[in-house]
Amino acid sequence: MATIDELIDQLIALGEDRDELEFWRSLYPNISPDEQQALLSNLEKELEEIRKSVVPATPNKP
Amino acid sequence: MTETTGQEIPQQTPEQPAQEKETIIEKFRAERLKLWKTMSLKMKEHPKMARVLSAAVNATAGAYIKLSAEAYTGKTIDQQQLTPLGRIVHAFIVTTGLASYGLLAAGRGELAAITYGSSWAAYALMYGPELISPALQTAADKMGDKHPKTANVLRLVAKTSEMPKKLFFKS
Repeated sequence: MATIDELIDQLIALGEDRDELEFWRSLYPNISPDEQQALLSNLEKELEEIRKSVVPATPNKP
Repeated sequence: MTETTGQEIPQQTPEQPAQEKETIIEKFRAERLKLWKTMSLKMKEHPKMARVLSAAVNATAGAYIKLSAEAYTGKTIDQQQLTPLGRIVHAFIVTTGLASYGLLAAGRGELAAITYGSSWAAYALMYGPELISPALQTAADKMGDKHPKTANVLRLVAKTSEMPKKLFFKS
Protein backbone atom coordinates (compact mmCIF):
# COMPACT_ATOMS: atom_id res chain seq x y z
CA MET A 1 0.00 0.00 0.00
CA ALA A 2 1.27 3.46 -0.88
CA THR A 3 2.03 5.92 1.89
CA ILE A 4 0.16 9.17 2.37
CA ASP A 5 3.21 11.08 1.11
CA GLU A 6 3.46 9.01 -2.06
CA LEU A 7 -0.22 9.36 -2.82
CA ILE A 8 -0.26 13.10 -2.27
CA ASP A 9 2.89 13.69 -4.29
CA GLN A 10 1.47 11.75 -7.23
CA LEU A 11 -1.90 13.48 -7.08
CA ILE A 12 -0.27 16.90 -7.02
CA ALA A 13 1.80 15.89 -10.04
CA LEU A 14 -1.46 15.01 -11.78
CA GLY A 15 -2.98 18.40 -11.11
CA GLU A 16 -4.71 18.08 -7.74
CA ASP A 17 -4.81 21.15 -5.51
CA ARG A 18 -1.51 21.39 -3.67
CA ASP A 19 -2.82 23.49 -0.79
CA GLU A 20 -5.67 21.18 0.04
CA LEU A 21 -3.54 18.05 -0.09
CA GLU A 22 -0.78 19.62 1.99
CA PHE A 23 -3.47 20.38 4.54
CA TRP A 24 -4.44 16.71 4.66
CA ARG A 25 -0.79 15.67 4.82
CA SER A 26 -0.28 17.83 7.90
CA LEU A 27 -3.44 16.52 9.56
CA TYR A 28 -2.71 12.87 8.90
CA PRO A 29 -0.50 12.13 11.96
CA ASN A 30 -3.11 13.71 14.25
CA ILE A 31 -6.25 11.91 13.14
CA SER A 32 -7.58 8.54 14.26
CA PRO A 33 -6.63 5.28 12.53
CA ASP A 34 -10.12 5.02 11.02
CA GLU A 35 -9.88 8.53 9.64
CA GLN A 36 -6.40 7.81 8.33
CA GLN A 37 -7.72 4.74 6.53
CA ALA A 38 -10.64 6.65 5.07
CA LEU A 39 -8.31 9.34 3.79
CA LEU A 40 -5.85 6.85 2.30
CA SER A 41 -8.66 5.01 0.57
CA ASN A 42 -10.04 8.24 -0.85
CA LEU A 43 -6.66 9.30 -2.22
CA GLU A 44 -5.86 5.85 -3.64
CA LYS A 45 -9.15 5.68 -5.51
CA GLU A 46 -8.78 9.19 -6.84
CA LEU A 47 -5.28 8.43 -8.10
CA GLU A 48 -6.51 5.27 -9.77
CA GLU A 49 -9.40 7.03 -11.52
CA ILE A 50 -7.28 9.93 -12.70
CA ARG A 51 -4.69 7.56 -14.10
CA LYS A 52 -7.37 5.71 -16.00
CA SER A 53 -8.77 8.96 -17.34
CA VAL A 54 -5.47 10.11 -18.77
CA VAL A 55 -4.33 6.89 -20.46
CA PRO A 56 -3.28 7.92 -23.97
CA ALA A 57 -5.71 6.86 -26.69
CA THR A 58 -4.52 4.23 -29.17
CA PRO A 59 -3.26 6.08 -32.26
CA ASN A 60 -5.15 5.51 -35.52
CA LYS A 61 -3.37 3.46 -38.15
CA PRO A 62 -2.51 5.37 -41.32
CA MET B 1 10.86 -0.62 -27.25
CA THR B 2 10.17 1.10 -23.99
CA GLU B 3 8.40 -0.72 -21.21
CA THR B 4 6.05 1.11 -18.90
CA THR B 5 5.46 0.47 -15.22
CA GLY B 6 2.48 1.08 -12.99
CA GLN B 7 4.33 3.91 -11.27
CA GLU B 8 4.58 6.08 -14.34
CA ILE B 9 2.18 8.95 -14.77
CA PRO B 10 0.43 8.91 -18.16
CA GLN B 11 0.06 12.13 -20.07
CA GLN B 12 -3.16 13.97 -20.76
CA THR B 13 -4.22 13.75 -24.40
CA PRO B 14 -6.60 15.87 -26.47
CA GLU B 15 -8.93 12.86 -26.65
CA GLN B 16 -9.27 12.85 -22.86
CA PRO B 17 -10.24 16.41 -22.01
CA ALA B 18 -9.25 18.02 -18.75
CA GLN B 19 -12.94 18.24 -17.88
CA GLU B 20 -13.04 14.52 -17.09
CA LYS B 21 -10.12 14.83 -14.73
CA GLU B 22 -11.71 17.82 -13.03
CA THR B 23 -14.91 15.85 -12.52
CA ILE B 24 -12.97 13.06 -10.81
CA ILE B 25 -11.08 15.55 -8.63
CA GLU B 26 -14.31 17.25 -7.57
CA LYS B 27 -15.91 13.92 -6.66
CA PHE B 28 -13.09 12.81 -4.38
CA ARG B 29 -12.67 16.30 -2.94
CA ALA B 30 -16.34 16.23 -1.93
CA GLU B 31 -15.72 12.95 -0.09
CA ARG B 32 -12.83 14.50 1.76
CA LEU B 33 -15.04 17.41 2.77
CA LYS B 34 -17.46 14.93 4.32
CA LEU B 35 -14.57 13.42 6.25
CA TRP B 36 -13.59 16.89 7.43
CA LYS B 37 -17.14 17.57 8.58
CA THR B 38 -17.11 14.38 10.66
CA MET B 39 -13.83 15.39 12.21
CA SER B 40 -15.22 18.85 12.99
CA LEU B 41 -18.20 17.34 14.77
CA LYS B 42 -15.86 15.22 16.85
CA MET B 43 -14.00 18.34 17.90
CA LYS B 44 -17.10 19.94 19.32
CA GLU B 45 -17.69 16.94 21.59
CA HIS B 46 -14.40 17.43 23.34
CA PRO B 47 -15.21 19.57 26.40
CA LYS B 48 -11.71 20.57 27.43
CA MET B 49 -10.85 21.75 23.97
CA ALA B 50 -14.06 23.73 23.77
CA ARG B 51 -13.37 25.44 27.09
CA VAL B 52 -9.94 26.52 25.93
CA LEU B 53 -11.35 27.83 22.70
CA SER B 54 -14.33 29.55 24.25
CA ALA B 55 -11.92 31.63 26.31
CA ALA B 56 -10.06 32.66 23.18
CA VAL B 57 -12.86 33.86 20.95
CA ASN B 58 -16.06 35.85 21.22
CA ALA B 59 -19.05 36.70 19.05
CA THR B 60 -22.57 38.05 18.79
CA ALA B 61 -25.76 36.36 17.65
CA GLY B 62 -26.00 38.67 14.66
CA ALA B 63 -22.88 37.18 13.16
CA TYR B 64 -24.66 33.84 12.83
CA ILE B 65 -27.28 35.34 10.58
CA LYS B 66 -24.57 36.68 8.30
CA LEU B 67 -22.71 33.36 8.29
CA SER B 68 -25.89 31.43 7.67
CA ALA B 69 -26.60 33.48 4.57
CA GLU B 70 -23.05 32.98 3.39
CA ALA B 71 -23.20 29.22 3.86
CA TYR B 72 -26.35 29.15 1.79
CA THR B 73 -25.23 31.40 -1.04
CA GLY B 74 -21.57 30.44 -1.11
CA LYS B 75 -20.53 34.07 -1.00
CA THR B 76 -19.46 36.36 1.78
CA ILE B 77 -21.07 39.75 2.19
CA ASP B 78 -18.01 41.33 0.60
CA GLN B 79 -18.52 39.03 -2.38
CA GLN B 80 -15.69 36.59 -1.75
CA GLN B 81 -16.61 33.21 -3.16
CA LEU B 82 -16.50 30.39 -0.63
CA THR B 83 -15.03 27.03 -1.55
CA PRO B 84 -16.94 23.84 -0.67
CA LEU B 85 -14.82 23.53 2.44
CA GLY B 86 -15.55 27.13 3.31
CA ARG B 87 -19.27 26.51 3.08
CA ILE B 88 -19.04 23.45 5.31
CA VAL B 89 -17.13 25.34 7.96
CA HIS B 90 -19.64 28.17 7.72
CA ALA B 91 -22.49 25.73 8.19
CA PHE B 92 -20.69 24.19 11.15
CA ILE B 93 -20.25 27.61 12.73
CA VAL B 94 -23.90 28.44 12.32
CA THR B 95 -25.21 25.10 13.55
CA THR B 96 -23.07 24.86 16.66
CA GLY B 97 -23.37 28.56 17.41
CA LEU B 98 -27.14 28.70 17.28
CA ALA B 99 -27.37 25.45 19.21
CA SER B 100 -25.45 27.05 22.05
CA TYR B 101 -28.11 29.75 22.45
CA GLY B 102 -30.82 27.10 22.59
CA LEU B 103 -28.91 25.07 25.17
CA LEU B 104 -28.35 28.15 27.29
CA ALA B 105 -32.07 28.92 27.20
CA ALA B 106 -32.74 25.35 28.27
CA GLY B 107 -30.50 25.71 31.28
CA ARG B 108 -27.72 23.51 29.97
CA GLY B 109 -24.97 26.04 30.41
CA GLU B 110 -21.96 23.75 30.26
CA LEU B 111 -23.03 22.11 27.03
CA ALA B 112 -23.83 25.53 25.63
CA ALA B 113 -20.29 26.64 26.42
CA ILE B 114 -18.92 23.66 24.53
CA THR B 115 -20.94 24.26 21.39
CA TYR B 116 -20.31 27.98 21.56
CA GLY B 117 -16.57 27.48 21.90
CA SER B 118 -16.50 24.96 19.08
CA SER B 119 -18.40 27.28 16.82
CA TRP B 120 -15.94 30.06 17.33
CA ALA B 121 -13.00 27.74 17.01
CA ALA B 122 -14.24 27.07 13.50
CA TYR B 123 -14.64 30.78 12.91
CA ALA B 124 -11.09 31.37 14.07
CA LEU B 125 -9.85 28.67 11.72
CA MET B 126 -11.26 30.55 8.78
CA TYR B 127 -10.73 34.15 9.71
CA GLY B 128 -8.19 34.38 12.48
CA PRO B 129 -5.65 31.56 12.30
CA GLU B 130 -2.91 33.85 13.51
CA LEU B 131 -4.80 34.14 16.81
CA ILE B 132 -5.70 30.55 17.41
CA SER B 133 -2.74 28.46 16.31
CA PRO B 134 -0.07 29.63 18.79
CA ALA B 135 -2.56 29.47 21.67
CA LEU B 136 -3.56 25.93 20.83
CA GLN B 137 0.00 24.75 20.37
CA THR B 138 0.93 26.16 23.77
CA ALA B 139 -2.10 24.59 25.43
CA ALA B 140 -1.37 21.24 23.80
CA ASP B 141 2.25 21.31 24.94
CA LYS B 142 1.24 22.13 28.51
CA MET B 143 -1.27 19.31 28.83
CA GLY B 144 0.64 16.82 26.68
CA ASP B 145 1.66 14.36 29.43
CA LYS B 146 -1.38 14.60 31.68
CA HIS B 147 -4.05 14.69 28.99
CA PRO B 148 -2.59 13.19 25.82
CA LYS B 149 -5.95 12.76 24.06
CA THR B 150 -6.94 16.35 24.64
CA ALA B 151 -3.51 17.52 23.56
CA ASN B 152 -3.86 15.55 20.34
CA VAL B 153 -7.18 17.19 19.55
CA LEU B 154 -5.71 20.61 20.24
CA ARG B 155 -2.79 19.89 17.93
CA LEU B 156 -5.23 18.79 15.26
CA VAL B 157 -7.11 22.07 15.47
CA ALA B 158 -3.85 24.01 15.53
CA LYS B 159 -2.68 22.22 12.40
CA THR B 160 -6.00 22.93 10.80
CA SER B 161 -5.69 26.59 11.63
CA GLU B 162 -2.52 26.77 9.56
CA MET B 163 -4.30 25.82 6.38
CA PRO B 164 -4.26 28.44 3.66
CA LYS B 165 -7.28 30.66 3.22
CA LYS B 166 -7.43 29.44 -0.35
CA LEU B 167 -9.21 26.40 1.05
CA PHE B 168 -12.06 28.58 2.24
CA PHE B 169 -12.20 31.41 -0.27
CA LYS B 170 -12.00 31.24 -4.02
CA SER B 171 -9.48 33.70 -5.40
